[in-house]
Amino acid sequence: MRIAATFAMTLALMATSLWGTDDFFPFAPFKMYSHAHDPDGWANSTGLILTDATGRSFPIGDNDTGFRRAELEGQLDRFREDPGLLALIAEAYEDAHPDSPEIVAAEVVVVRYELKDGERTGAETVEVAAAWTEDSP
Amino acid sequence: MTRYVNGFFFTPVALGRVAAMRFLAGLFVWIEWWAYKPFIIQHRFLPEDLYQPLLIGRVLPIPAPNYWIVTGTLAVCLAAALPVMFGYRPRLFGWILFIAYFEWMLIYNSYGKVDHASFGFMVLLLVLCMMPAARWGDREHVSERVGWGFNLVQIAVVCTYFLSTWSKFRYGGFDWADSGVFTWAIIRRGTVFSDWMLDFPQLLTAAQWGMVAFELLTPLVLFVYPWKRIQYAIIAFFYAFHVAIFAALTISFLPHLFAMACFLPLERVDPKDLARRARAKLKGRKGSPDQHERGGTDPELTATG
Repeated sequence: MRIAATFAMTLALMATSLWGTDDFFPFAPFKMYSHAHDPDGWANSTGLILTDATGRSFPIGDNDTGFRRAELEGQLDRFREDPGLLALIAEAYEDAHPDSPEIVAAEVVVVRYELKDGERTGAETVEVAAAWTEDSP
Repeated sequence: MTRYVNGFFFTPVALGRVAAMRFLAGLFVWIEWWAYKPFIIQHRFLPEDLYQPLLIGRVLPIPAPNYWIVTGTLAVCLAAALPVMFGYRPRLFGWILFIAYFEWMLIYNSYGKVDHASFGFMVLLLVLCMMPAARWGDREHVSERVGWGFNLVQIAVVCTYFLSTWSKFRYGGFDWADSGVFTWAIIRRGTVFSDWMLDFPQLLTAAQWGMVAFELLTPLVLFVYPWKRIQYAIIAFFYAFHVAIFAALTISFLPHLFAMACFLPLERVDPKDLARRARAKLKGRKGSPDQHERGGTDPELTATG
């Protein structure tokens, strides 16, 4: 019986590693850093930049709103389609920082660094994947 | 052979280790929320629209997290962790802790990114609920059930390594080890210990091959269980590996490291005994009669003292 339990856990893990997705948490495939990155391609880094009522723009980190960079990247397509979602981030930021000035704009910036044989060439592109300002619909 | 297989699953483990692991498990819960993953509690500010429930969150009637659900879950985790740590009704509070911590993990992982370092730790919390009450340093009472439970945690820990290679092949393809993944990782999360490596891409490729080899070999640690010294040496290597990864990328897999501690003979640690000895030593220095008693067991000490 206990041996069966051990096998059940191991098999469940193996099966979801082969065919499963993160959706099957806690039996999700262990895919930390599992995606290959082309040594002659582009490495990207995503960031969130907020602008407050005083006009100050600043990048925010994982702990400012609880919405992590990896979570932003996981939902990036949603943000591209509906930049209005950034209002939710601004709202979360304001709730988490009640003493800070109001947030009036937010944007998602994706910086890509070019790699050649795994080394950075120095070339980079900056893309604004989604942008929102308070008054936009 | 049968003995080997039987021993693999059911080598009895001393109850002292259960007390130590309960303490470590509770300790981790107390450390995690403010020092290790502070963004989980910050999820309380996120609007429901950003919540992306996992399968289990859609099948079970689990409400979308809000300010009070997140705060309350943490409060229950912390409150239940204390009696577990100190062995007061450890099964009852163990279950409460397991359930609350599972909800905590759902809050953690339901916003577009699932992390994978906690599986072993969740298994640990679960098996601790099924183990008897125990006290520190108990090496007399042994239990097959405890041996089985920790074996399950150990398998989970090893799977975290071994199956992550499967994922690398599955998502990254067999070229993963030749790709620029470490360059990418260091660009994103590099430190003073790793940024210089960006100038040596061949080194990083070699490290990627080393990583694959290492992860594919990890199941060995389970199979060498009759040879404890080898097993402890491998576990020491695992810990060293994580220290290196932490120095390079500030990724620590902390819950995994806590769960992995169940490989170690923690039943040999007895805080009360240590305290007693420390006190005896202090007193001994002041020349109390205690010294005589202890010295008697070690003639060499009495001779010089």
